[in-house]
Amino acid sequence: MSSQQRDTIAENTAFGRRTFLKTAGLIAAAGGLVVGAGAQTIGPANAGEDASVGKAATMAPKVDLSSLPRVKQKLVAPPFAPEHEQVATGGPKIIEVEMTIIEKQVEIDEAGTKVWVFAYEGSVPGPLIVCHEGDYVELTLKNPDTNLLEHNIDFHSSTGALGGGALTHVGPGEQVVLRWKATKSGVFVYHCAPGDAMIPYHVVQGMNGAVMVLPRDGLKDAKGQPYVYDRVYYIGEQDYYVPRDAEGKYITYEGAADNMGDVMDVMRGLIPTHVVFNGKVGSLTGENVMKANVGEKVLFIHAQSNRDSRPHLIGGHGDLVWETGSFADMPATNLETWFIRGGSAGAAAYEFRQPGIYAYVNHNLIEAVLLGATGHVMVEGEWNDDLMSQVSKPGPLISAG
Amino acid sequence: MALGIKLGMAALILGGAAIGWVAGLIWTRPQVAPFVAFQIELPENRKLNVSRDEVTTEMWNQCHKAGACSLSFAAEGNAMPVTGVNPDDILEFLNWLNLSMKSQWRLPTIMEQRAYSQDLPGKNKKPLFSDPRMAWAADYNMAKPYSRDIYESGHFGQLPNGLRDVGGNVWEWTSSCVNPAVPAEMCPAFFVGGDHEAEIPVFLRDAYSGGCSAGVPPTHFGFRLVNDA
Repeated sequence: MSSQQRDTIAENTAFGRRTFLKTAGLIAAAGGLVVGAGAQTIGPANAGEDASVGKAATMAPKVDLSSLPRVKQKLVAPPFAPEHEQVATGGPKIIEVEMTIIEKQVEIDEAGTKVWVFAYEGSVPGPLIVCHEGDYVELTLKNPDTNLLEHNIDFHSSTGALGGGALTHVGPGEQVVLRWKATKSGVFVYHCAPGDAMIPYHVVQGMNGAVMVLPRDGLKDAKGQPYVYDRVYYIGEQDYYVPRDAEGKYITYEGAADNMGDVMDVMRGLIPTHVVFNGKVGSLTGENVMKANVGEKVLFIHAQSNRDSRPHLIGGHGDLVWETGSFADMPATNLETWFIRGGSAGAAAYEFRQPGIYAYVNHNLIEAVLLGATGHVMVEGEWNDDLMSQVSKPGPLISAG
Repeated sequence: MALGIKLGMAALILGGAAIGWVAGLIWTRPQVAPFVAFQIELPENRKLNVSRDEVTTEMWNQCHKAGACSLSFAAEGNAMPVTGVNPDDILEFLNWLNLSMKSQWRLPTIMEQRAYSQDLPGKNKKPLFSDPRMAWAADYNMAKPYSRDIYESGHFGQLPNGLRDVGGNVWEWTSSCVNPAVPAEMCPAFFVGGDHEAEIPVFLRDAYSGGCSAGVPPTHFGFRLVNDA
């Protein structure tokens, strides 16, 4: 961002944030990411000035997908995954999904701190989409006219047009349909990327989610043997940058995007005020605890669209970890902690061997405990003394002599 | 009057607030606002005076004003329980409070806390795990966490024994060390009582939401006064 743009933000913070939104749009347009009037947008790849681009386009075979079966996938709110097959039956399909973007104010901690989120299908993170390699995902993205902002979606699992971002700009009262082919298996993030400063702003307002593209024959363990999981838990880690007033109290804003100038200032410091799982502190603890049984294999999908993280299951391990997210790669085995690069998703499978409470944390423990990135798993079953036993209860030291 | 025990006058002073009143005592000293205590029956015919409310910010600030308590809190919270205090801070308060008191006020033990909070609805709930080897996880709180907002004393209601806010979002420090063999001044962590019990390191003043400890942790830490009747 140029210093001139920063000045523009500073001025507009003082003189009215809604004015800034318009200005930000103009800045984005001038930068070439969004070209055109009104809602019509053209990405740079479509500029058509490059002869080779035009040539390639004329030579490309015409795509006819009319013979492919169409399946509607009913999306569900995190931490759950939509109903899906682990091993695909039949050939490639077109998976139809629909997401409505909701701009809404939510509480993100027990102190009642309120932020505006821009939520795909109303949840932070947006719902998990599941398909198989070779399938097509056809998304209908709706931006209701009750919203204030323009949105779009960039699928890291897709190929071309900025992950679909250049083809999916929708203003309030518009919808768009995008189809992309799942050519790589793995877990991937998706996020809003409307252009310029709006990109990180929308992402840190909760506008991100994940896709799982399974190999057609399902997951394989480190020896190449089929691996079947019993449950999926989908964890989206969210960093928030909530501005404070002169007394240090978090500011509540009246409308969507009213916070933008102030949030930009906090974001520039790179230190989040909150790092949480699934939108808010406590979304995976207490009454929302994740559940499992001894002997069950659980696949934890961890998505972070903006910032590095390091999941750790306190009391357990990652039996199989696809740390970079690619299911084409051999999973790492028996990890204590794994690394999720900002802008990616990863997956870890674990068979629970002992009952009780486990904590699933970002093992930057400051972020886990002070900023909120903690979930719990309650596991039922029989305690195994062989794995652990309290040989004697805490008592006075026994002197050597 | 350094200390007054005004039997029977409590109802007059408290007006309608004295519902469920059995035998109330009002304790006063010049520097500290009067507070109400109820006599609670303990096992083996022991009797304990327990303050109806958690110590308020107003009382705490009087201690600070007198130069005896290091911490002070914003006066806007005067009618609310004081929170953000640890056992060392509370020791300062008790030393000040008891300077001119004839009977010594102190923190309850965890056994005393259990006795006066036994009518809380959550106290008789089934443990999550019955296997004694899993006692460490048995108290995992499946309930929705409390709001972190702090309310005026009385907000969370009154038990049949007259005590208020026992199950509210302020957990109360006790004098019971998690390791009973360790003297209080060396104790690394004490029990706090409330909606559920927790073991809290002595240095903590604020509860946080996460980490590896099992369960939804307490929301705030405050305290209630007791003395031996």
